[in-house]
Amino acid sequence: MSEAAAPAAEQIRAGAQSPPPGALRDWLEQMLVIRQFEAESVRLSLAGHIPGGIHSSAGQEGVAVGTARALGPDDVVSGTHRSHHHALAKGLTPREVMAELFGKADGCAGGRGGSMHLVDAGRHFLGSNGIVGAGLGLAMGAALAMKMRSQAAVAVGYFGDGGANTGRVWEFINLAALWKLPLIAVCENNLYAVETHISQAMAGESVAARAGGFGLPAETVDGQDVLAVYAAVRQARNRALDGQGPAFIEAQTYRYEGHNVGDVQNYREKSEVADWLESRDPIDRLRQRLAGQGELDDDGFAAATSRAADIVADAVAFAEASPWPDTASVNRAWPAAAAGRP
Amino acid sequence: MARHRLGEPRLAGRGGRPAVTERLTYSQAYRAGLAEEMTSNDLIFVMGTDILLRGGHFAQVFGLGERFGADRIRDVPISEAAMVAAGVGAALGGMRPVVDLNFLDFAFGGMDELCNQAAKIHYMFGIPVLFLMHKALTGVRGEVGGPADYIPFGLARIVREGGDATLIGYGATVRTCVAAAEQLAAEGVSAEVIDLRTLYPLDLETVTASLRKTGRAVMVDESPGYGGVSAEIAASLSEAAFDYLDGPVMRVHAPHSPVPQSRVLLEALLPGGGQVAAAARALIARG
Repeated sequence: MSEAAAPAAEQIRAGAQSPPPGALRDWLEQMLVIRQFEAESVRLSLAGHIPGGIHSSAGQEGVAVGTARALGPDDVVSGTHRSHHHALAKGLTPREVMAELFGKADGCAGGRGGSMHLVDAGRHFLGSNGIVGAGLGLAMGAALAMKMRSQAAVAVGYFGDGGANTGRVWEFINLAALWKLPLIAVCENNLYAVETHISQAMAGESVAARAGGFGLPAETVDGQDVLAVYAAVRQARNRALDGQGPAFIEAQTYRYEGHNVGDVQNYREKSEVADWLESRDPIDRLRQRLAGQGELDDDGFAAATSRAADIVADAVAFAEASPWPDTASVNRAWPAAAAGRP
Repeated sequence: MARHRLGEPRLAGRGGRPAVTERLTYSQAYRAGLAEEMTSNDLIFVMGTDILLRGGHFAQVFGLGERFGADRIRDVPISEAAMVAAGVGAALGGMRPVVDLNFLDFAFGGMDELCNQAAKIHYMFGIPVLFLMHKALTGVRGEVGGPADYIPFGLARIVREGGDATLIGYGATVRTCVAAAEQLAAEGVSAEVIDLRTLYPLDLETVTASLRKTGRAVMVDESPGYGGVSAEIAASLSEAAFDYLDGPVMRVHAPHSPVPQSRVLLEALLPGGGQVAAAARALIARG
């Protein structure tokens, strides 16, 4: 990183806040729900219940939960095509997300959006997005509105290592930095854009190193450590609320499943997947931390896992029982539009 | 030039005259309308390249920078993707941004943001709107209404009444239609001229009512004909007004070509009043 960027990274380290007591167990449960939700959605997709493709986020729970828990109630998040974890962590219920995947009327987008248009105005989730890098632009615009309206809020825009090679991502970063917008750009670097490894796609040493060139603090974080993610986002948020402008976080993470359901994954070794699962799993690491602090024993973890399974099973049952959207409404604006802006 | 607000229109709409008239150029009218709305609504702001001091490449917001300041007449770096995304995101955040692309040619730099993002956001949340001003009209003068005059979307305007043929245009081709109508009037043919004003939603009702009278439609479009606006309207009229038509919907449009630089080539490419009048005559000759 450039000399100017290095001290800035130190600055955003200072002032980190710890999560409230007892919060970590809640985070663990959320991550368990996401993990099981993804496993179920893959199974249901293979069984033909989910039209179109889905992109599993299993393995990336730490980034989504660490980020979401660092945000306030008015903060806004925009996602990517791989966003089930972002949506669930932001507060969309497993029921409404699953129903949306099924294309049912009770889905968060009335069945019209599916996996890549999960939207929730009330919970400030601008949506998952089928266009690589595009969500960051919406978050940047939302941050502009926050600044112009003097709102004490920030916007988080996710994108991936693939998105980091689009021009648009850096056009959005440039504008956010120029106007000192309260934007937190979070790059989930999971090493692969579909089947292309970053060594085959990305010039330069790191994604965070690129951001430093725009004069904003940029750091690389272990995305599999939910607390590290939380701390980084918390500090970036404090900075933004203080009027100091945007920050860039590159979270190093990994997806256990292929790019999409049905991906044969002949571009990576099974041993690599196993290695991440065995030694860098975000759920496992948080569990070990809690166990080490005497806050969670094996029975407790088993109970939490079981609760998560129940929640997901309930979501699937809800989706299956939910009615199909009214076909007469196909051309009309989605009813929730009347509910107002995110 | 139309300004839009949801709610009750004050104008009669189809052929109604505004209550207060003033003669301004399109550019002045755009500026005046925008300034009026910006004065009464703090949420409106403009983003574009070179708009603060220069006022845009057609002086479309000249002087507004001084009046409203750099926050609300906001210069952006050259990135259509960023400015359109900023506009869509800010609209979602409750602001009312106007993204001024200056030249329509530049819209393609923000095409994903327009087509994949804004269009779907529109479907979900009812925003935003694409407003196109023809660069050849910026200096043309016409009557405008006052601050209380609003024209809703989806309402065409009858520019000139007539009974023998209906000439349909939008933007710059409205004047082409009027020129054709004047030529035809000298030959004893009375042509009705309709200004569509909005392409979507389209006021087919007004056009159909005119065709009930005239039975003859000529659609004038500066764009190439293939898959364009004139094709859409011809198809729609054939569905909606077939029984009133005494002949096919004639289209006068540009050939399938980019726009050439040389003035003589440009004049040859663009539809002219003479061609429109000829199309009307051809329909009349059918009987």
